[in-house]
Amino acid sequence: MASIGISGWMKRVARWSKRVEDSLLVLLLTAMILIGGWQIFMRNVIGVSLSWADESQRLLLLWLTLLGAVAASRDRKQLRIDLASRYLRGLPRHALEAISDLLTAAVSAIIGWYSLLFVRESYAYGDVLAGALPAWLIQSVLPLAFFLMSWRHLLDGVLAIMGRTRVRVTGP
Amino acid sequence: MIVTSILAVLALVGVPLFVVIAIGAMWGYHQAGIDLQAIAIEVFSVAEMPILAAIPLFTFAGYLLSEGGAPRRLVRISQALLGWLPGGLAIIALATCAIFTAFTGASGVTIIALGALLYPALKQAGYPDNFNLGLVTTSGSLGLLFAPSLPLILYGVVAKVSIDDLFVAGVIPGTLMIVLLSAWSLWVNRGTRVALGDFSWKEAGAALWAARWEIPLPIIVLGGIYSGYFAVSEAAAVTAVYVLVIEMLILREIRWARLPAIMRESMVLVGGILLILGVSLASTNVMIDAGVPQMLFGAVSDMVSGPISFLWLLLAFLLVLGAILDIFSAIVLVVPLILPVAAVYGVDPVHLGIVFLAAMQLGYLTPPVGLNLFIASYRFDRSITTIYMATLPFLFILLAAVIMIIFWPALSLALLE
Repeated sequence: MASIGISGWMKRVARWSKRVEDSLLVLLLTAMILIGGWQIFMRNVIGVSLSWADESQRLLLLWLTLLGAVAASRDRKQLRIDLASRYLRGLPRHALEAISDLLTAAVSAIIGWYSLLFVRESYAYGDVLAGALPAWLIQSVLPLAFFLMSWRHLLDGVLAIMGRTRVRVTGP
Repeated sequence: MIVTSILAVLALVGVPLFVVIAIGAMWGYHQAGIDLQAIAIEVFSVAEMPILAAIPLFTFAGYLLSEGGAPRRLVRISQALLGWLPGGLAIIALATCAIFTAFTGASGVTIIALGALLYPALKQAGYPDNFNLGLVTTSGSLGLLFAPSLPLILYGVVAKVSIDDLFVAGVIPGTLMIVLLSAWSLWVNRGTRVALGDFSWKEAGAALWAARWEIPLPIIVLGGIYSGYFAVSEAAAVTAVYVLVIEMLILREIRWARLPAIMRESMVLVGGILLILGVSLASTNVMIDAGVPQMLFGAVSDMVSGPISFLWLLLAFLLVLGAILDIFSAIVLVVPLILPVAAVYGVDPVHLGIVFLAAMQLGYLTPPVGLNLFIASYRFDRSITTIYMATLPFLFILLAAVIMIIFWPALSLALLE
């Protein structure tokens, strides 16, 4: 009973986190397209150059990159040399995948941890980006994304060792 | 050396490349006594390169285009304009795939979106099956050298070379590849009885009219970039807005409910590439501080006697690299290391970029990890070996093109002068 409860709970968390991440991706990309279009319209038609637009595009790019990377982890679409999964079957393949997932989880957690320290320092110094935004708020996507990737690969790795199928969320 | 070997093994057993690169960077920082926060700072510095904003915008536009009816209309126009020519359909396949790949960034989308249309059309016209398979598989990565392809932009960012210059430099080498492949297609099919269409003004007009919304796109984007009216990132924003408006508001071929999924799919690719760029910025610093380019130069200068033998060595190295590593990872990881070495032998960084991408293009077609082989095998339901054998002649033609591009720098640089 307990295991069903846990896996049901995990599925619910996975579903919600997928919804939030996907909505953020769509929102940020839409913002990037609109700001990019608006900037060109203003510069070429009205003749005004928007000083905030360039910087906001760059910050949006950072968020898109990291959230896109989290989505890539969920889809198991991180770029890799795809030899093992194409030429191996059965136990050796599963073992390699489990090792690879656990290693990815560990390394992502380390980067997440040091990103957190980086963000904390930036908070302490009161750095500011794009004129008014507190830098730590923008930078907090770094630890967030790396911890999310770590969590996802940890889950995949543990489930692979236990011989279970991965927590999969399909559809919107 | 031991660390390098361990990293190589990790990469080969399928550990995500960003992890392998991050381990290398962290190990280097640790050895040098640098705080590991440095890796977070390097990843953050992705936000300090304004040009990168072009990458998600172009990628999204390419994904959106491939979802709608654009591939079908592109094939129809080419068929109407060139279908009467002997061997015309093969040339159409090559040219349309090249244009399409330039916009979609050679991520395999071309084979899926266009191959599915061209393969049956070639078969119906009477071309032999093996030829068709090879042609469609090869076409999937043709066009990497044309603006606004993602690898060109990424090379410009990493090598700190003008992207506008790269866009110009790729034109002749990219055209050379298409011309050589077309000539070969005509030659092998000289005895094949292929049904030829009659040229019809009516059909040509109708095909052009059907594609009236897409035709302006390459004109606006390429015209804007090549004339200097748009910066690359502006052209990307214009492309994204334009494609969004025509696909979703004017043509309405894609359901709104499908749009978030397309956006997400394209950002998965962008996230994967730029995450590797972020950690590579860290590993590149580590390797430069450790004097890796100098060591590389030392090793190279022992092996080669001058620029010509250096270029042969470079070619061999890039072919091996392309066979195991995808083009994006190869650019961010390897370019910063070979750039200074190539400079010593007098290789122009723009020329190096074109050579690098042209050689990496062959990697899409070579085992063990050639992406096009797997996508074609999956899409057309043939064994990898069948696809590989069918592709082999095309691979040799492309190799000949790459050799010409390497040893004849004017092909890349003439238009810049």
